[in-house]
Amino acid sequence: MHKQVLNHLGNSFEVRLEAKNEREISAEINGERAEMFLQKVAGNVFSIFHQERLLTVYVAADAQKIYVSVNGEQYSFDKPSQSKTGYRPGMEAALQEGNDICAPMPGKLLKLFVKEGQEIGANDRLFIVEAMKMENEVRAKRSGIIKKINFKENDLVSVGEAVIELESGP
Amino acid sequence: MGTKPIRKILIANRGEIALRVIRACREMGITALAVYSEVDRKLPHVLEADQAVEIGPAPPLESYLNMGKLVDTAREFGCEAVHPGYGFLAENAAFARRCREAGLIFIGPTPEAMEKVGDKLTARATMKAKGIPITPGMEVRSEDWEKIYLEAASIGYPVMVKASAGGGGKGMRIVQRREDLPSALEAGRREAKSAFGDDTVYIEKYLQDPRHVEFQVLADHHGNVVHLFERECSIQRRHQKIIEESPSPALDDSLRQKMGDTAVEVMRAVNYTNAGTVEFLLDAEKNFYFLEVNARIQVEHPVTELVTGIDLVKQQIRIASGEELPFRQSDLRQRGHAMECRIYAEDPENSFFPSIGKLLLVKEPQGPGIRCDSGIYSGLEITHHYDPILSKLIAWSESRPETLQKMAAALSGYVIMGVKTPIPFLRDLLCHPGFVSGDIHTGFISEHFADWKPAPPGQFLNIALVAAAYAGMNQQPSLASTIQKEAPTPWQTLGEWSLFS
Repeated sequence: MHKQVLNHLGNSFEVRLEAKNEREISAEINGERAEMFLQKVAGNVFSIFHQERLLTVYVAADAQKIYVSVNGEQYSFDKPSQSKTGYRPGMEAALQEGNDICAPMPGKLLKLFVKEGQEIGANDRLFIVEAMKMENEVRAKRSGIIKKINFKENDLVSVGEAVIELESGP
Repeated sequence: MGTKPIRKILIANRGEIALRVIRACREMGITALAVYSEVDRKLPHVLEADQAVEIGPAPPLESYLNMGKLVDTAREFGCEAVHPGYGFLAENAAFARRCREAGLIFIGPTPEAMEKVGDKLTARATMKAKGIPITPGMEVRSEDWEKIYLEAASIGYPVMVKASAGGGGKGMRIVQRREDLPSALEAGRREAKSAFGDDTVYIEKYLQDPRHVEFQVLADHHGNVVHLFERECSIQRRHQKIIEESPSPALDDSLRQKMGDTAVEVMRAVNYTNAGTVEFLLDAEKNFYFLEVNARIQVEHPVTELVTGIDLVKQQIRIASGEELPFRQSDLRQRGHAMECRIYAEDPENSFFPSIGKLLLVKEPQGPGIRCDSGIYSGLEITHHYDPILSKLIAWSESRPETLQKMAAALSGYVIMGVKTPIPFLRDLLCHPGFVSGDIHTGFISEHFADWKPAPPGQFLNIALVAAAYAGMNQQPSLASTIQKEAPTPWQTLGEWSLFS
């Protein structure tokens, strides 16, 4: 019996697997049973027969996530007990509302328009991140005072990294 | 002009277009010399070429835009010709001239023709004089802000800032208000400098929701100019095309002929030679306006190749060597329907921003009528240095509805894991009733897909969960060689990773 918890878009799934024989698998997902025939084709390509349908399934992983592609649909699962530092859609918007102003994309910090201690107004230009020859300007979502700037021009920034920290807002 | 045989070509580009040119060379028995920056040494174009030379560090200005280095390399390695691909130096007249002065054939238009069309301001003036319709625009190069504001106001906002040397959306900005003009011009200049090595920008009227329809042209050095019909390229994001097709659903035979004739007239007006594209904007009343000439092979050229059966890159090489076009306008036909989807490393959920990282697994679709021009493989690292195009998926069938079905099926079979791609977005777009009926314009994506999110987890979630858990259960220290079966080339291995390290 192999047990694993996988998170998908904020939902947690407990998967229990039992290999009946080389090809036949008995699975339980959050307590619900599913019978599947599964054959490893190569490395991490699997052929799965389930509910009268044969599907080729591709699995890959990086440090944070496991990716699975089935019939043109891609699923990504957080690896168990990983901190959630990786980028997730919607994270940018969430982060911009706090005190940290983050890089919206990975790339080079091309220009900084502000200095530490400076007072800024909403919609003021803060910095430009350049990646793959496209420039992306980041403007202030609210007014405030620049507490700290964590990078200098020409530094490389990763997505979600705080470039500028503001004093706590009103 | 007599013919001069070309036996060896330096390909001054990278990625899928370099690979495309290498393939043409191989078929023609020409030796292909690839160049690469130090971060690109494992790219497929380097591995596929007959010879490959490192030309400098990652920043384009020090490698793929380094004219002196490219010309010296071509001469040192005994090339007769240079193919610039698209982007980088493809539309740089100074580079074409330096090639010529060094005794090299530049596979593209002459520097003189390139200057006439490449400088978009000059091109507009030339076409206006010939009675060819153009969009209202403003011809400003100075830093005289009073004058710039005055002229922009007289055109009327919104206006578009464009790179005079440009194309491909680089350096382009829509400006809604006077106060945004300086920062748009400044950013446009920097982008233009970085992408084309020339920071001249200009401003033209931004037309609301036109169609973008362009005509492919081939012109030899013997006075023959033909068009190879149109490509409809209205589906754009960030001012960059992502879907192109031919024929255009908007044209009938008489409009096609009229626009095609105009395209030929445009190219004759500047003594254009080699392959080029005349871009038009087409409004709802079917008025068309000359937009610009793209003096290069274009990203979307395969669409034309599939409907006409003509290999455009081979024709480029033959024209450059002085051969006469082997066909006339009356020999050319459009057959069936072709469509291309561009696959970039980008996140359709996050404003199509680039998504960089390692490609964990790649499996490309195949089948009758499917062509995949790509420059990627499992394990390749996508960096922030260059244009994020990964590949182009092109489908051909007898009719537009059949081509749509073929494209949808091919997208479903395209596996790219490790970076975000627009594949799920493109699959949704292909099903949109407006797209299916061909009722499209350049604002189509912002109108219908501004807040696009992928569909909630589909019917295969259980299977995906089981597969992920099973892979974890049977984990091995290294899960290499995932795709050996599909891609037997030695460098296409997955690399080392482990699931629960």
